[in-house]
Amino acid sequence: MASFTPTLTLTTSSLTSSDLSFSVSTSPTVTDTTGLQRTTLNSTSKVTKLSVLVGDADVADATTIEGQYIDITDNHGLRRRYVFTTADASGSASNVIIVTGTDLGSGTAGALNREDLFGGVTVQITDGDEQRDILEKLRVVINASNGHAGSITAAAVASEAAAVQSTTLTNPTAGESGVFLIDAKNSTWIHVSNTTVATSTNSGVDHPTLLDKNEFLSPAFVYIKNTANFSATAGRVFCYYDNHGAEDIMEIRGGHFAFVPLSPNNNLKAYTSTVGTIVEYMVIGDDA
Amino acid sequence: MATTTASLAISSSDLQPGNRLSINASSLLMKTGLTEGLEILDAGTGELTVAMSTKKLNDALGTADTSNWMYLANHATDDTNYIEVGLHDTIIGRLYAGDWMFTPWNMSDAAAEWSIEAEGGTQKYEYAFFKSTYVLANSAQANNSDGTPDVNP
Repeated sequence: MASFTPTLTLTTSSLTSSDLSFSVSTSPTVTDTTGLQRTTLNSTSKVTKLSVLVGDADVADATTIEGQYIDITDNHGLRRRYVFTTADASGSASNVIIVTGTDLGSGTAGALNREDLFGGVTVQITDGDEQRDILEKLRVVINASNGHAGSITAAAVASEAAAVQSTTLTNPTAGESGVFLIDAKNSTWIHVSNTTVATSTNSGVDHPTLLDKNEFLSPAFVYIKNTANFSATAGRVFCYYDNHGAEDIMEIRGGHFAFVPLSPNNNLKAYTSTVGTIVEYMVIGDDA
Repeated sequence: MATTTASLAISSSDLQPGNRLSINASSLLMKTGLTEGLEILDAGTGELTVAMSTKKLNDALGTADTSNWMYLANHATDDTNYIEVGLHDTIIGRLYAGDWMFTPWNMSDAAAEWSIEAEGGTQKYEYAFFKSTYVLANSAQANNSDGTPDVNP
């Protein structure tokens, strides 16, 4: 066991009568800490969107995309793997759950030894589709019965353009969060735009986890500091629990800090108002 | 208005073996813009009983998206008791006997109120809110036609 002592001191001056001078400390006994860490925040939004690199780029041969996939998880943890099949090579129609005998185009998932696709949902594309068209076909399947079927609403993609294009994913249930997970990093779909530019794919995956619910028991003491210079608008850090509502619980401006005992029933995540803001944090508590 | 400074020191000799922990952070609490001087200090103490269920500690009645701060301490002595702290629909965490918290509060909208609830037994608490701005509510007192207060409404 170990102990630590956090001390808060609050002072004021320029009050018209007596100034405030106040100090409080405690000495909890704990076992574990993450150590003092820093991470760079690059996501500037809780709006979830899936983007492709160049909307009007033609895909002459759809078989080059066959079997590629992307994983999307809603705010209740329902994950769907969306897998592309090719219509020109007799691949399965859209919105079909993939089993051994499902035709991807050049063969069945079983014959091609694509066990990693079993349980996925097909998105049928065809020769000549543009990246925008493929994204639009995907978003239709997201909304369909074997897709997320209503837990996510994927908005229509705009007409083709020679630029990054996206579909925005929202939660149709009032009061629930629209922060979903798009695993763009591990996606095999080559058209996904996954950079830090504002138009790129954005989801809860892009929000670093400051407090891992699987690592600490309650309460876990969290020290968080925004290392940016103070500004009224730029470089702000926002923190939220990744629960169903995902309400922001802290907005920390440059140079400011928080010290809070948190209940790690969910992960504590962070994003920023300005790409590149660095947050410093340390979690102290007992191992879960 | 008052210039307010918040300082935090975290120290430990045995939490990180071979690496004595010493963190110090200090910040001048600014208003929403780049000006010093928070306008309102709302502080006090109270006692929570388990029977009270959830109690509202402070409403988000100021201007939305402003720079405000919240301090809360649990002065209970039984270390099995705790105060559950909530921000609107989100349970922030548990404040056990002797523990405290200090966090910015931006009052993003009217649904950003703080609430507290005692678990395990009666607990004394202490709080302070530092606010950027505050607009006083209109008086319910009736006025005369010339705008002066009607002392006999």
